Amino acid sequence: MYRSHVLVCGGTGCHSNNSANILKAFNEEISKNGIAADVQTVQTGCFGLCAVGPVVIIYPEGAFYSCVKVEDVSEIVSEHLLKGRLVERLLYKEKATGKTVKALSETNFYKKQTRVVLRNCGVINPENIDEYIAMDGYQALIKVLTSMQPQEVIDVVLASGLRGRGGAGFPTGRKWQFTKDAVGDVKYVACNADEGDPGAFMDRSVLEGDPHAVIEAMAIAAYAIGAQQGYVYVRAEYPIAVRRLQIAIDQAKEYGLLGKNILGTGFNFDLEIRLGAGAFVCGEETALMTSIEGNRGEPRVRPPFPAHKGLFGKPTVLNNVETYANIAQIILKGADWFKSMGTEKSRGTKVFALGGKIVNTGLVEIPMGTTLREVIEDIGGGVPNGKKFKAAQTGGPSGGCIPAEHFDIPIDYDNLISIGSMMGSGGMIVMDEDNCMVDIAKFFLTFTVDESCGKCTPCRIGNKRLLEYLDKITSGKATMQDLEDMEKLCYYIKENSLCGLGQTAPNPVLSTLRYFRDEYIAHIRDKKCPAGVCKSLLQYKIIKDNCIGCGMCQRQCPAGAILNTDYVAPGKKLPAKEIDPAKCVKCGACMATCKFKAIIKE
Amino acid sequence: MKSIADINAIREQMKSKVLIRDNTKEGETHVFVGMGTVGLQSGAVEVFNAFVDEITSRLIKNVRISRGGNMGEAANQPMAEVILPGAAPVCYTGLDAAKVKVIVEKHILGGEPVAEYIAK
Repeated sequence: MYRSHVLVCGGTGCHSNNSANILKAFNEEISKNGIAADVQTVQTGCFGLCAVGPVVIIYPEGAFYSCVKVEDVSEIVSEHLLKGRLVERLLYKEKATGKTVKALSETNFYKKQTRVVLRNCGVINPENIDEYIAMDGYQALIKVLTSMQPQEVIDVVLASGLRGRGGAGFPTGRKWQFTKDAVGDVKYVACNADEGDPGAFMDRSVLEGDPHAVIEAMAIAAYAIGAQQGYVYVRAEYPIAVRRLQIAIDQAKEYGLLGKNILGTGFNFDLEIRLGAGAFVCGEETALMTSIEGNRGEPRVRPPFPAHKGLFGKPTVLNNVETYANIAQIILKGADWFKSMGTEKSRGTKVFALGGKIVNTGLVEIPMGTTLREVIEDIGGGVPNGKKFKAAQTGGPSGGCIPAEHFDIPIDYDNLISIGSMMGSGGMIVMDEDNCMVDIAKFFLTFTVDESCGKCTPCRIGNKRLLEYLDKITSGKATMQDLEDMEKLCYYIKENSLCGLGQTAPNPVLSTLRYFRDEYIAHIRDKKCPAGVCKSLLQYKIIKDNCIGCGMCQRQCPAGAILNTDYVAPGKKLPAKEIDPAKCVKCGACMATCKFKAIIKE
Repeated sequence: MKSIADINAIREQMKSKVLIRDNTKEGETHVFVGMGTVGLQSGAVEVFNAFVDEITSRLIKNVRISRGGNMGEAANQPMAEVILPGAAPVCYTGLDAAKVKVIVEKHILGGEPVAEYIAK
């Protein structure tokens, strides 16, 4: 019987910070000290607080060690596990309060969350099916197979109000109903794990931390619609997720939870992984299915919708990872339990990947209807370095930004659309006053231009032209007429593109135009970048009254752009310097070397 | 290939093994076992283990067991403190595995401190 459990995060974030070796070191130290029979080490999925990884949690205390290094392991083992003394210096300190927090569940980051989808992430070993079963895993599948008719399953999902977590928010139950009602002898279940938004890692974390939850839900969906074969389409760039999912599928097959005659009930369902080659457009449902079929991943016109003609021309249910991760809980706890969370039209919770200018970078799960302020200030710990919050980008390259004026808006599908953004799959990138919104729009558009499959003209050429407008603006060569034309082009692309990628690609431009038009105008009319990001609009200047004439900048300048003047500032002994804008290459070396804050950029 | 009964058996058997990792503690009971040098010498590990075993094997939720430092009273080790939600700490002395069972039964589950083990 193990009395202490050492949980080491094995999510991608901590893994790339050497957590695999930390686990190894724990195992070595523990057996060296002869306590292997008492202490169990477990590699788990993501705990969520990626900013302070690698994370180690030790139960029964729930002690939360952050930023652990391999060298710290022997101290933790000898102090904590042998002598029972917490290693204070490694305990997590809450940045906002400066308080040392002993247990994971006591942090603000965790207290304000509601973990439904992530309930097992960071708790169980994702490579051990028994631990999933201990957490009531596969009980929902047993319940469905032994006591429910397919239609009853769909009715529960419908009644729960669950909407697709991949972005558009289509009611999941209706999707299942359409597919069940569609005519066809063969039907398929598919899972979209082709998470491609920059800064989004919710689906990856679920697959890494709780892969069986997805498998169980897909089997339930298959039973509900009458399918016998399923596919998980996951990006090849997620090696840990792919490996754990494959282990989970193999274990489920061994236990008879996948395959023929599941648990002796006569129901057959098999599951296979298909690896995506990394094209963003393959996250679009028709392109994804085309890719599973073995063709080049390009979207096609809808209708027919996948519910009628999907994979291999057969009726198909395609849901996102996070959507599936809710299903087993809904079946077990009932539609009313799920409906008790969230808002009228958006039930349940949503997982967000917090990134950008925020203290607690990581994975959070909140009930729908939580305000942006709570997410960013209370859970996320606010914007670091005392900077001011400017906007949050949700929905990735298809979404838009939420400015500070909407800080108190409850986050749900409809509210986000009404303010010109969208839920998307759940990436949330926080921006502060140092971010130029035109530059942000350019960043996302560069991404979509790269990722456009090229099948339809509005997306292939339109977005390229749109990007050229943005280039013109950020280099100070645009006119007000360009701004007007650019806006028109945005609407043209939205209306005429074939698939979701093109239809939403101009959103970052439109939403920044909506809330930060003054920044665009400053770039065009005043030839200035207010945030000081767009290089070609920047000017380095020497404030002569601050300059003591030491000449440090002159020696650093690679372009010989710093000249001598005759002006001696009051109280200074040597004449001040000045910058020749014609020679300046805007490298910033002078500003970095000046100790007297005499050089500014504007 | 397993049957439904097999899966349920695994679930029952595994439940006590992962219970300790419960993070959603609300209104939790705290147990501190004094593990200073003297405590360790006189069997604090055994007491700590007994608490964990009792709590997990009986699937009692919302109890956090912590290893603590020296709790004083070197003569009466091992010691442990039990704090029910909203109640004052109760300090037990001279513990062993058998006494822990009684404390879990009567105090943690029953809500009544075990007077004869309480520090005087």
